[in-house]
Amino acid sequence: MSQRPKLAFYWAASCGGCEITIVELGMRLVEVSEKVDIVFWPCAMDFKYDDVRAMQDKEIDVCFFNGGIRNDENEHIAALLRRKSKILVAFGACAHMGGIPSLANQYDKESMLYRVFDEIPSNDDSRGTRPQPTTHMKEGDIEIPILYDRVKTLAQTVEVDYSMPGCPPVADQVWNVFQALLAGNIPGKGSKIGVDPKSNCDACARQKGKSSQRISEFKRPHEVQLDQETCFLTQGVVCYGAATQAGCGLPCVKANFPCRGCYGPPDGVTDQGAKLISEIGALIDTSKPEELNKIMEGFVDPVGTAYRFGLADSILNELKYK
Amino acid sequence: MNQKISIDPITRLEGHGRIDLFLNEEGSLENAYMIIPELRGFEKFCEGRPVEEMPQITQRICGVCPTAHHIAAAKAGDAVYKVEVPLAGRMIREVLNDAFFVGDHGTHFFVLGGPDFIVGPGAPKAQRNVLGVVQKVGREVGGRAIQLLQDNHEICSIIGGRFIHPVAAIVGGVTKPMTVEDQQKILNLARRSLETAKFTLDLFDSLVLKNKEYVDLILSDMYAHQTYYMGLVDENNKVNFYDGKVRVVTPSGKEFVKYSPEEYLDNIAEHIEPWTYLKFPYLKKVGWKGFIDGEGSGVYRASPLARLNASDGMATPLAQAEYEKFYATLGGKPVHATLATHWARLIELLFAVEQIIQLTTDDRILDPNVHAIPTEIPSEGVAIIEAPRGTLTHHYQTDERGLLKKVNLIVGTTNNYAAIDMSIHKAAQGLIHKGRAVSDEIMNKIEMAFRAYDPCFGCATHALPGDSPMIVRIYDHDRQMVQELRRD
Amino acid sequence: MSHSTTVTFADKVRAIPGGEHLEMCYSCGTCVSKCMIQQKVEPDYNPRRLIRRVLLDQVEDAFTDPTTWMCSACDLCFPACPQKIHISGVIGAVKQLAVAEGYKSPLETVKVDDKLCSGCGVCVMVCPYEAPHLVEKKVNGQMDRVSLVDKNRCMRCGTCVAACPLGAISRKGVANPDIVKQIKIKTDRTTSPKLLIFICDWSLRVDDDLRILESYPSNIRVIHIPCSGRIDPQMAMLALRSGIDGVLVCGCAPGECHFKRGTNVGSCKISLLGQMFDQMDPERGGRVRFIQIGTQDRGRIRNEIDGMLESLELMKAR
Repeated sequence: MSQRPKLAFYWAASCGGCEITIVELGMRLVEVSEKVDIVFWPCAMDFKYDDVRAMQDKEIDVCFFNGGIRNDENEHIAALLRRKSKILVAFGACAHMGGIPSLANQYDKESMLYRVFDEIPSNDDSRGTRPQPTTHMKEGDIEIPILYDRVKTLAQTVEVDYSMPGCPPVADQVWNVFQALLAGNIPGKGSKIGVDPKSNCDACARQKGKSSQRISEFKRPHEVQLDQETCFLTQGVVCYGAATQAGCGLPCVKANFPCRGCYGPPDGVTDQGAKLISEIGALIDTSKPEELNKIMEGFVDPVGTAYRFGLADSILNELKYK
Repeated sequence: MNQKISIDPITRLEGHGRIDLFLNEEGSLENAYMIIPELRGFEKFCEGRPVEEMPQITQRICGVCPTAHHIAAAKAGDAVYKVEVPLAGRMIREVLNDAFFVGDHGTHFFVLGGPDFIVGPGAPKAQRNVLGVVQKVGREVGGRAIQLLQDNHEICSIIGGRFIHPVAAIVGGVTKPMTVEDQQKILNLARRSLETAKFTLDLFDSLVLKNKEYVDLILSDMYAHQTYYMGLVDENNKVNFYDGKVRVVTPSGKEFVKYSPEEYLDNIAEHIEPWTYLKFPYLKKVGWKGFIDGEGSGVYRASPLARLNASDGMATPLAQAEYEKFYATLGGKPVHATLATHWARLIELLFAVEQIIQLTTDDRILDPNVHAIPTEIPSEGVAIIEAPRGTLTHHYQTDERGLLKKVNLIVGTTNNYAAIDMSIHKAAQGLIHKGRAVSDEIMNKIEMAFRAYDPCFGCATHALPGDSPMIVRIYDHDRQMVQELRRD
Repeated sequence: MSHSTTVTFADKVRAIPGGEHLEMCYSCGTCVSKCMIQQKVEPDYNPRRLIRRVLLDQVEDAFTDPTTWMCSACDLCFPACPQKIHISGVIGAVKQLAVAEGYKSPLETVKVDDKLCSGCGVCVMVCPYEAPHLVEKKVNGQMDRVSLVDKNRCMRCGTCVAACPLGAISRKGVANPDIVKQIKIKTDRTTSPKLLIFICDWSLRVDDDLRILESYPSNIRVIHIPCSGRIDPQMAMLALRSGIDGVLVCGCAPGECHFKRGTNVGSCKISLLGQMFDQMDPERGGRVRFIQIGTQDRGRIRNEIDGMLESLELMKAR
């Protein structure tokens, strides 16, 4: 019987980026693979669900689960893996706080199905046909998962031991976490792992704002020549970096695009979107009160802007779906 | 009562899927279905979003091909605003796209679909992965493969900040100009990639084309379909990943239609079945006749094989030579053999690298003007680009502020969904017989039928499960073993 | 006007931008009658007397006068002054001279927790008084860039506390936990809507209005904040999540904010919050409201509260 720790990787409603980030480890993954057994990883290995069902409870040492919970199969496998794993990590933005697919929580399931299976202009005469949980074919029945009315985070579905934010979590942080686990450095349960303290601004080399420098007009990223040296907020461009947990190393900002908050809120913030508008609201140039409405019109799509990656984890979401 | 065997989940590809096989009492196949059990609803929840954020949002459709959506979304945003991207901006976008193609195609060949070929379709489960490939072809090759992927991921990071979910493409251009230092770095990486690309084609030649058993497999009827073929071409009908018109040829290779992005609705329709969440696109002018082959059926394929079939050639010299060899070997155009897609993929890989070099050695790419600020009122736009898996269409309608009202997406693999389902069925039909147990090898051979279409992601390095001892043998070019490394 | 060559205290004050025209003052005291600080907080606060002290060269008295340190430049006095003296400018000039002489503000100002601060500069940009600025200093043995508050400029409005994404800048009494712990309403009257009111310290000018505010039963709770710029939309969300039916935020009318810009900041935040509700959950939008009470609006607070309760009753009925 192997003494090596057993790892599992699984994806629910996700894009696959969290699997590729493991791959980005390159040769470091080979190093790790010599010390562990990967017992389940659908994207890269041929183990099937029945293999997991056959395992003992808590046989898996650490399961890295990415993707949000969108349907009953996602929930079923989450519960299965929870049972079979000692440690369950919500890996990546979707498992951590819903991710981009959780923008669907702004709409209801019926309007989503209507758009995809009725309204879309390329649909043919079969428009109006809806996927069914069970379809009786002449050969037998085909069953497909039932969509839930919204996306849930992993922690809203099963008990989660750790969260590892990022869309995806950057490879260097994944490496840090693997090393810590192999060395037995298990942090306190419930903590965020693969992150650095404070917010992104801590590591950002851009020139920060000056006293009384405020936003008199919101500029959307395509409406200006984005400057590479100065803080985006001083250019009138919304950047979430100040309200985002550090840890990614700022690849987006360094490539000259503002941060969109995929690492989630920093410690101490309950609702990332509300905190963001508390920050942005104060930055608006208020010297002419009669122009405030006009300025605010330039801040388009508040929900999609303030909750780009975390709508499922927000209080806004909780209020709607309680 | 029929017996149902489910391959659940299907593995070594991106996305969720299940294959349901229905066998009758005698043990032969009644039917086979490829089922997609998930839906996330991008076409709904993108409503209300600003169009300039779509390169960021839509790339989360797929973390394996994020760059395809990233660039398609930027192009669709350009169309919505009727803004023309400055030349340097376009060149940078193309380099990003090409580097991403190399990484993606390379990953598929060495890690995903390739191992079935290189190690053998009937090889034990534990060897059907990149380590099995290394064992077969030597550690040096494995190292070169990883280098190829890492080099092209690096090019993407130089331009877009990171490989997974880059940020470079915005409406009107790209976020920053290319510096001389970056240009040099990219060129060095591309030149090294060129050698590996040529080497990989040689490898394919020696391992696969010189192996009669594999060639028979490729050309076997079990893995062939006579369908229409689709791909983006330039004004000379050469394969183009970034721009041009969509050209469709008939199963006998004649041009059927050539359309501009705005005309896509006249040409593509989608069919819905209740047993799956994914829809089946088909050629509207031919019509939906079900999951069947032939000129009378609207089923088409969009993939490296399809792109080569739908074009008159490759726009770069080395790739063009390979293109000609491809058709000479396989009996002329069009090639219907699904497994030939693996070869077509490598030809495209070579083309992408040649293109990176062409673009990066052109100093116009250093022009600081890389972003045109839109001036028109936004309304509606369609953009089409080639993703590694197939033709990708983004169609947006916005209000006068550029906030999305309606979104329609026809995504790479979706184009092939009907064909994939047919491929699964045909392979299963050929492999499952009365009196013969459905073994692991048979199930894998069925899975091979879809793996040819779907590059997806993979694992550049792959962990060997369990306690199996690992033996690595290093061969020189004369196939003499020079070293054996063991881990027992 | 002095023709001698010595520089008087008044000369020094006049030399500082904002300190001009102080000799025009004829001590009518209109400014004192308008001043909210004098009326609500500190009876000894007296701009007229301070200007007198400057003109009479009473330097030490001027530097220790509470007026010098407590003026928040709300400028309610400015339009009223018959001589059009920009009084807060004069006071600010006196303060500047005091600081140069080593005098310090007696106010308990906000402080930055270096261990939490990421040096983002948001507080620097939002402060109406330009009190915070970024500095390089050693934190935990390493050089770091953090914010540092000039305590002689800070007027304790709390706008920075709400704007800081990390809760790194704060003071006792208005720190996030201090406010959050007040967000609960326990009541036996379960049929009446529960309303949480955030009110700034300055928008209700007279005691009668304050009495109205305190006259409601226990289904209404009032939380006092120094300025409506201190409001954080998270607080409104937490309130709704805990079962409170509605949140009313009350600030000063534009142009009358005690801390220059707080009321405009507050109104922007609540407006953006409202837009988020419109997108996500339109029915809930009417539950958070921002009102601005003018200096002359006597008794209006009652109408606003009653109106809000009525809306909440209607929402409950639906």
